Amino acid sequence: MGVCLLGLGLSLGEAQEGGHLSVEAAVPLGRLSVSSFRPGVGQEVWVEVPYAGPFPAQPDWAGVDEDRGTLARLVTQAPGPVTVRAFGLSATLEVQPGANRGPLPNPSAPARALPFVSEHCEDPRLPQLSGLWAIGCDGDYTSRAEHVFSGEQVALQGAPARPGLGGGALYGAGPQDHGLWRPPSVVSSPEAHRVPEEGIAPPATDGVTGALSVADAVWVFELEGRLRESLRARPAPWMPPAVAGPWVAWVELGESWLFGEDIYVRHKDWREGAPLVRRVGSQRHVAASEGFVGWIEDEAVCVESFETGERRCVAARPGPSRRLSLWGPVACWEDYSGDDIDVVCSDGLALRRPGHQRGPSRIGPWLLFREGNQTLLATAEWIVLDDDDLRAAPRGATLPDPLALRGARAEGGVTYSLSMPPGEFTVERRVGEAWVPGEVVRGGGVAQIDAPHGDAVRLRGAQ
Amino acid sequence: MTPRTERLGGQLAAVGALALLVAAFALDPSPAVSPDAVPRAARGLAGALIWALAATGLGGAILGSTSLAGALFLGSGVLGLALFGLAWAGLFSGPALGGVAVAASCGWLLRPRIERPTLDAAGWAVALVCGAPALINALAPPTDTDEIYQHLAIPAQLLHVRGLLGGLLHPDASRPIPVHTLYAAAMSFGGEPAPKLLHLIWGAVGLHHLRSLGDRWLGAPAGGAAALTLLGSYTFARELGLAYNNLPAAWWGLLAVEAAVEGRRKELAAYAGMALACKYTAAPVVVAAYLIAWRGLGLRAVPTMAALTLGALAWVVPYWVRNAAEGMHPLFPYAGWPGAEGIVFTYNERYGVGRGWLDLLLLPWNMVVHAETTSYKFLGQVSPVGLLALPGMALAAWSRPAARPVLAAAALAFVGWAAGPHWLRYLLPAAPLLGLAVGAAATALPSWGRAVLVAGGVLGLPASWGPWLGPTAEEAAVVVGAAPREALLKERVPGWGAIDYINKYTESDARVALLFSWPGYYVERPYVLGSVEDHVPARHLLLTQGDAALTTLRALGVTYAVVGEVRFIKKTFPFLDDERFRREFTEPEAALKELLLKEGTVVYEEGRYAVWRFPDGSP
Repeated sequence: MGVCLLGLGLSLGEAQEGGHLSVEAAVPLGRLSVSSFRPGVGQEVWVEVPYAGPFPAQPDWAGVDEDRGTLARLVTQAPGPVTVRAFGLSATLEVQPGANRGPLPNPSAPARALPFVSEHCEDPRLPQLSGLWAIGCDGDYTSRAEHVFSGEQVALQGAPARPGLGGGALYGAGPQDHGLWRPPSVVSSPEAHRVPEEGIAPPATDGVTGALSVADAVWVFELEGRLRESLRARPAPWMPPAVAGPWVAWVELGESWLFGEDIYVRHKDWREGAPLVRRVGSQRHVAASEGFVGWIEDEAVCVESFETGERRCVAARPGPSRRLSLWGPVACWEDYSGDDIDVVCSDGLALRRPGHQRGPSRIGPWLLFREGNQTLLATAEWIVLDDDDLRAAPRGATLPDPLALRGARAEGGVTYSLSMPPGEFTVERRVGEAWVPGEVVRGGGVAQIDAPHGDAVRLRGAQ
Repeated sequence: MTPRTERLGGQLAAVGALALLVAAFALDPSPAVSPDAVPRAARGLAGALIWALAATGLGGAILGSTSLAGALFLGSGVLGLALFGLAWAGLFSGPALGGVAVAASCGWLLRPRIERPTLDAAGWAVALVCGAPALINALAPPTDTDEIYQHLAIPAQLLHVRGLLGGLLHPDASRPIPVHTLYAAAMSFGGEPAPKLLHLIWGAVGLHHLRSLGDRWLGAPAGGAAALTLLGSYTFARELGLAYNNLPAAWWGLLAVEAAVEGRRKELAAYAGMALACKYTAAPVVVAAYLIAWRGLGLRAVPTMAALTLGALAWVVPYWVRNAAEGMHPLFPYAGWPGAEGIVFTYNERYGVGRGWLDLLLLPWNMVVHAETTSYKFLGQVSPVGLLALPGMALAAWSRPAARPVLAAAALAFVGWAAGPHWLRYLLPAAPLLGLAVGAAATALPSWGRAVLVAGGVLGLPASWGPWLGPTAEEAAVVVGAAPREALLKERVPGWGAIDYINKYTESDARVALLFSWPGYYVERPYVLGSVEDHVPARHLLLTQGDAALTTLRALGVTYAVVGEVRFIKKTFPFLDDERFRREFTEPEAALKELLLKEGTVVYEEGRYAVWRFPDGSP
């Protein structure tokens, strides 16, 4: 703990204020994590302090029903604002008259085999998507890439055995694996940042920034830069860190003897990392994408906005999943609740096929997975954006509406802001019980999609 | 220059050379030998020498007048059994071991007459050429599969719990362990290299004795031929610098035969029992020794031979009694796996190239020509000299009566091996006898015939020494500290990453199960199971416990499992029908996979090895 505080530029002496820890020291993120800022009436809301101080903690919760230390619960009673306080920090919930309930619809997702990337990989977490490239192996090395949209296939020269994948890039760390490949280029960039060791887990990248876990630190660097920062940490081996823009996250084992694995994050403007989830239980397999961080717990999968702290956890049986796939706030994982292993995503897309489906990797409507000895690519017929999605900005109150998808809609409409994969998509808006086709949007960047009726939209790939 | 001045000058020059030697190594800014390597080696050597000298003193005191080998190996055998008693009593601690070493060393106070070994120039040359790589093997971090699951893992466990483990959770430690208790004692004093250095000392003394004995019995150059034949064989030479039990069994077996030939019956019983306790595969050599002792005596000697047999069994029975006392079959883990009567510890058919009559007749040819060090085709390599010497052996049997007992013993030992698994390592207890048989051939053949044997030996060296010296060269850099130990372990120890995870990231008292995994020696946590032969412990657990296998482990407090993925291949068990192969091999492994998916969380994975965590110790 002391290390953590010192790492934030604070000494224990500075942190003490009249016998109490200062808010800045105890909650370095300076905010609470809330399961929903716009819950419906009667909905259960969980609030957690990303707490760095000593235990037992005394957050002095206010506005909650049940105090579990750094975690608290309340059940909303009536529409209107509700303020929750802990450690002098506050979060205001806007309780809505209505709320979406029930599962999201599961689109059909026909799958096709990708033989080019079906060869055995030394690391069973592969193949994976990096941007729109399905990265696979030639039996040993991660040297094959197939574009899921165009079908282009390339064989990478001198590719590494266990790369970090993300943003369309492969980054290999250490003397043996060194290099940076950006398919369709088959050769490594001469500017690839060189690290002196391979680390204790595969590196992570978002295509611009890289991160590598070593025994007593997490290194963060620009993939094609020269500088490297070293963050004091005791990251988990085998589980790679995660990078998304200015944020890096990792699974921390510094207090594993007490808490099990925790999740730590760090913004590039901070000197050191800070706990995002630090409590009993195994929070593991961190992933990050486009401003969101996700992780796996024993009986849940969680996604949180780095900036706002709004956190969605869904009850799940991720079992011994080897990783979590994240596309924005959409998480996909292996589901162990059935007779066999299936793949499910937080936006409703699910592959419940005979046999085991494993190793999901998602971008847009494309979901790469393994089945038997094959790598398959499922393409969702459509993807749904619901009005309680973390990417949705409702303009008014959420009202009950039996005709709306999942029984509620946002009055005054909702705007969805999301990073679209390349290609053309037809926007279908939910109006009453029908889906009404609208304009065609071109992917490849951040799109703003307006839903004046305040209900869900579907994005269907243009044929 | 006067002779006195010349002597003084010589002394000064020698002192100068010594000073330069010290300075060159001490002041070298990038020393060839790291400062850490020297004390590690010195401590290891001290640990090995303490026990070798204690054993020699004890053996010498018992025998009065004897060869160095006789004293060393008798004392080692007595100490091995005594230390087993100490471990059984739960007193296997540093002070107790110190007391035993001091007590045994007191044998020197009785001034035993032990022959001082001598070595001519050729002997020194051979010792240097073969001793250097063997010394590197001994000082290198253990990476050999048998060392890390058994021969060093058992001693490490002994030291950790200060007593005996065994039974279904530690089946390896239920074997007779006379050398393992000595390895533990050496490890206690000298650290990791000490057991291997003790084994190397045994090897050097044993080889020297073999040479002397060969020359004494059969005439020169029989002894030299015997020793060189063994040294020219991969299967023998590779084990010199490792901590194994095949060669100690061989030396005890040789001494038993020697005692039988020379009519020293009590020694025969003692050495035979020690050989058998060390390795059951020494049984054919023991039988040969007894037959030699019995020859010409007829039925009237039955009571004597029975008494001698009981004398020999006295060295083995304690291990049987211990197993029985723990509710196990006396011969566990080789037999008596409860609840799975059909389970077979070792499939003989798995090794070699076949077991038909023709295969058996051609065995001497096949074991030389078709042997491979990396496959089940004999899993080793021997010098072709033994094959080339067959006509010479026949000639010696016909023309040299003195050679007949040795040749008969060698033939019996070979037949005994042929009846078991055709794994060349299992032939090692008979290796000194087979070497002496080659020596007999060498003395019987004309000089050009001996030249043929020499040519065969030289031509066979690349096949035998290549697989030995290649890996040894990689170890040398680690031994002198020029390359990191970790790099070698990562490259050679299967599942090193998983073991490293256990050692670095689990609670210090976490209990670990090794399922389909070998490297118990490196696990710095209390562990159960581990692998033997075809992963019998894990397969037995799954076959007998079924879906409750992991629940059973968790009830025992196991919170982590290191799990290897074997992927049993049917073609390596061609003698099994599909149904049996599926039931005994693929189904248990598949069942474990499913159970792990249901009950565990994978927290580390590297290649075929993974670390699984269970929610807590009790389901």
